Amino acid sequence: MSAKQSDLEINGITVPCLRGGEGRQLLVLHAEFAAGVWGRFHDLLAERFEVIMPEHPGFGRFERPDWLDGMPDLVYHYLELLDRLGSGQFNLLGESFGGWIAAELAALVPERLRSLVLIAPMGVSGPRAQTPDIFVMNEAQRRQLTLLRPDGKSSGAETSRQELERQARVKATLARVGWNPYLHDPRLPHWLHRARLPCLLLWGQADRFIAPETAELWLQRMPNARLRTVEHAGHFPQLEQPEETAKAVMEFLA
Amino acid sequence: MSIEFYYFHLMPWPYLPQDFIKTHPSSWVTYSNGNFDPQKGHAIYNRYLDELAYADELGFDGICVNEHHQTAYGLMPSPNVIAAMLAQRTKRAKIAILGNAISLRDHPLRVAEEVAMLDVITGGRIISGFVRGIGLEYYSFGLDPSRSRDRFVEALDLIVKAWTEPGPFEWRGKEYEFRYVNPWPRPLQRPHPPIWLPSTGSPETIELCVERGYPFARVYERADLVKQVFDQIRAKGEERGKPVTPGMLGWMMPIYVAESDARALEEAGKHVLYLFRELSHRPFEMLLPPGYMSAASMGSAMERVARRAGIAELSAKELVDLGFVIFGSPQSVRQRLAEYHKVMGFGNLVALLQFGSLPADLTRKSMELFASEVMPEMRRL
Repeated sequence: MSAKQSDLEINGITVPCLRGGEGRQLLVLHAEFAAGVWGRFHDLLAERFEVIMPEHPGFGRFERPDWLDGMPDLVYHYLELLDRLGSGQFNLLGESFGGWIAAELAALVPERLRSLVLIAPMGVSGPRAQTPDIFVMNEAQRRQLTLLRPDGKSSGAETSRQELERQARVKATLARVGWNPYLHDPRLPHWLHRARLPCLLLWGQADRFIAPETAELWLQRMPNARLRTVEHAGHFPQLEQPEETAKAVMEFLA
Repeated sequence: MSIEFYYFHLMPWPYLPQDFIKTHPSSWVTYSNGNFDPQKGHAIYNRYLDELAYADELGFDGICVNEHHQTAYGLMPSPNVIAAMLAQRTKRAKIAILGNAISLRDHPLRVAEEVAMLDVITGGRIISGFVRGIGLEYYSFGLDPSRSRDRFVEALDLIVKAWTEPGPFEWRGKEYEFRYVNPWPRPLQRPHPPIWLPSTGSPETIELCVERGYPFARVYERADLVKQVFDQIRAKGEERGKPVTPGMLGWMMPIYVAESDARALEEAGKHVLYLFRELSHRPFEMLLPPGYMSAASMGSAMERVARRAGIAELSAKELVDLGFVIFGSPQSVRQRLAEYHKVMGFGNLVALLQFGSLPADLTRKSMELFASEVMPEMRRL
């Protein structure tokens, strides 16, 4: 199955959007460097749902809009996007950076959501004293950190100038949102209890980037959350164990 | 030909171990300050201050300090502190701060105040350079590098306005908002101390230099590439009807003068390599953090930095041949400078006469030879 491109116009900007499958809507907020990347995991979800995966502004095809100056702007943007998609309740799934956005939305407008799935979300500062700095890493180093079994593929000579510039743009937007405080929102833990909806936390057992123990902090604050650990996976279980991860999501949403 | 001679000091830490490059990823940001020995620091700071004061005695037009953080590359996290000491130790030379990294300051008015104090106290001897701080420093300060350019331009505008328009006034910008801008003192020089922009020559900086007439100073680089930047600036000036004079172009480079060419290379070769290798040792991602420059500039910067990695492989002789540095007998240095000056047309030579691990005795000898056998003739040309 392949997804269809269907762009949205939101508040003066074009939001590239992938859609696949039929059924109840499942809004997917992609990970930091995964705009427009539709994988096996999404195919599996699309067997049961209409999966809608928009690009975060400044994280994909287009430049960061001037108004995007931090996480609050992304949250407002997604409030508008929810309004555009409909007035009902949504199933929301967020991966890593997208999980951070999803959690902010769940705390702010829990009434707009039916359920929440967070896969190794950023957004809450973990228990480790030293956190890996992904800004200082190149792509190969990031793969080394985030994947349990990074394959041999690396960027370098074969990467086009255009692709290098796109990566530079995305990294710059990520810095604008999450350089300091580093990829988390110090206010979020205090308000997370508002997200009373059913929530599934998925975490790769071997996540070297955001420690799986961070899940405890989420569970303490979200009364209806439960955790499922995915074995043989690093920070992106949806990439390394797509079947098992998708199965966990479908069981939760059933 | 009119040329002004500036004596620039980086105040490097000369005690990195022999195997440093093999054993450490960087001499910036993460090289542990446990390796800074305060007793040695005491001696080396005072030695370097003596060298700057000596340059004043020797007749340099100006002496220069700069700002870097969390690094063995240079020990001046606060250039204004060093400039304040020099204000008291010297009577004649201009004191050029090249420059204050205003984007790194939480409050740009602190810089406006400090530089104004220095200018008033020295009777108007201050040149006020402004820089963004290099990419590495955004790691050292936890500051979002994607704000660097906006913060720089806004801080620059704010400081100039604070120096030139009577306060109090209100400032409401994108990066800073202050209800009462009214810094005491104001600077002595009118309209304000000369503002220099030391830079690698980004399009944005070239634009600022030309539009506002701020002198540009190019940090050491291969001579033909420095010439390219100077040519670009002059062309931009022509295009805008704002001619760029030699006094607006400066070149900062390591220089060493000895009794003969061979002796110059032999005495100073390894010490300049220490600058280009050990002190310049840092990973690419640290040097150019996300958003520090536009995505388009980042592309070409990546190419430049890839080349720069090659610079660490060059021998001292190659650095001389490519014009990264000028080494030689007084006659060779004069000749080389005269040639470069003729084709490049710069008005300010910012000479780094101490560099890397160059020890005190050789530094003094080279300074003396430069001051007595190079400067006077160059001025007479």
